[in-house]
Amino acid sequence: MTASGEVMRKQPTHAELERWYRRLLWAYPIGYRRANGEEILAMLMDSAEPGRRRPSRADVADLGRGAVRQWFRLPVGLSTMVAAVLAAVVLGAVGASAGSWLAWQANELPSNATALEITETAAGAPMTAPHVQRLDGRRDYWRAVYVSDELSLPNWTIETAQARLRAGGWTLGPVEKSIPDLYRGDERLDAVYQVFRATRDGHAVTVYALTDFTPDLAGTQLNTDVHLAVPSWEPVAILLGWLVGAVAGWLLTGWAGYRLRRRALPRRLAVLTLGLAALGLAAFPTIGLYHTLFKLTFTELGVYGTAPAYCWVVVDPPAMLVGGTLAAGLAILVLAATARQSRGLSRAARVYSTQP
Amino acid sequence: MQEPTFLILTALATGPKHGYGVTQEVAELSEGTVKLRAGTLYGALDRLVEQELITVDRQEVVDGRLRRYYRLTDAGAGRLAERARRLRKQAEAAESRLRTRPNLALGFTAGSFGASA
Repeated sequence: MTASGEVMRKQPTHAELERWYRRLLWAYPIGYRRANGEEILAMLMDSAEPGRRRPSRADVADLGRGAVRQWFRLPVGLSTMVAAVLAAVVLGAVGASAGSWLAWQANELPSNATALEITETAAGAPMTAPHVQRLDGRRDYWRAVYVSDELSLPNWTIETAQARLRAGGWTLGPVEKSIPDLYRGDERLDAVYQVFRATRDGHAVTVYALTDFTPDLAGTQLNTDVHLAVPSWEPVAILLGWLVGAVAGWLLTGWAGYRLRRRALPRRLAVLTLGLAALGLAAFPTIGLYHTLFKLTFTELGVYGTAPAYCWVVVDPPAMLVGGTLAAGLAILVLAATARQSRGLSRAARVYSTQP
Repeated sequence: MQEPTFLILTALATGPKHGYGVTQEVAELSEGTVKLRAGTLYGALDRLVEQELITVDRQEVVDGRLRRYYRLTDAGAGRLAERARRLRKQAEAAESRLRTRPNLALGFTAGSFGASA
């Protein structure tokens, strides 16, 4: 012991160092700090060099690592480790979906009048009898204003439509062309189906144009869906959401694991059953979410894009399955929180709970 | 079992010690190569308590500071003995093989000169 006793403790350098150590110990979980903080502090003060006012960098780093280890610590055993990994994977998926949903809420859909105006710009002519359908609910996985018209546009070309949109400040995406199987009686119609997307100010328009070259049917039928462009910060929101979910899953499993250790068999069997049920319910939305993330990250999505990541938490049936998973998880936490200390607890654990 | 764990159990083999005592003993046992700081030491002690290899023997308040003394359990002593036996066996195997190592430069084996048994 390099410095001990009341005399040493009253020295200002010693008091200052102790304050620093106490601040560092705040990084530990509160329960652990209450049980072991004074003991760790005693060792830190014992091992401190005389005259030191502030902790060494090595001590700060070591306590930081120790605190992180305590936060993420799991009970000994493979089963808790597996449960923690699965909980992190599942809640990470839920968090990523929630992050995606929040990112998409930042922008508002354009009004129906604006959507009609955009469609008329693409058409190059006013709509005569437009049909406008607006899907803008918080649980609509694809928020959009759909505009269609029976009007057949003569002489419409994709090049002129794109030029008009470009002049209006839109950024054009690739065009996808296909030859549709259209028949009038036995006669196959000479037609082309073209789709392209354009974006401007957080909004996007997808233009669908069916051009028929059959002499007496010649013309283009055009419809659009005006929707939100993929938010630029959605990947960050997904990543943050995943991290929050995964960390929460790990920490809650660790907490529940310690609470349920050495508890009565019926309670542990109930937790096992709920855990397996949660896992079964979570399988489909979790795999779906990671598959969507994979597609968003590693594949060319083309003009049609893909369903946003948040659809796995707002659209049924996956949303119902996620709800069931979270309910089962909550039930496990309630069983853990209400677990009483059994007589089988080790002596060490009892000593640990004794305050000096 | 990692080296710090082995050294902590060894430090406690002679009797109960508090955290600072364990670090001093470990430093001595390892000839100064292993210096356990508080965060690392208490992480390891907690894990060993959880595995029931060590247990809290008693706690005292000295000069207003809490000292908790840890001691080796029977299970811990058994694990330490087993680990020591394995290490001894491995060390013996290493020494034995080193004795028969051919001296490539001279074309002799170490045993040819009756190297230490």
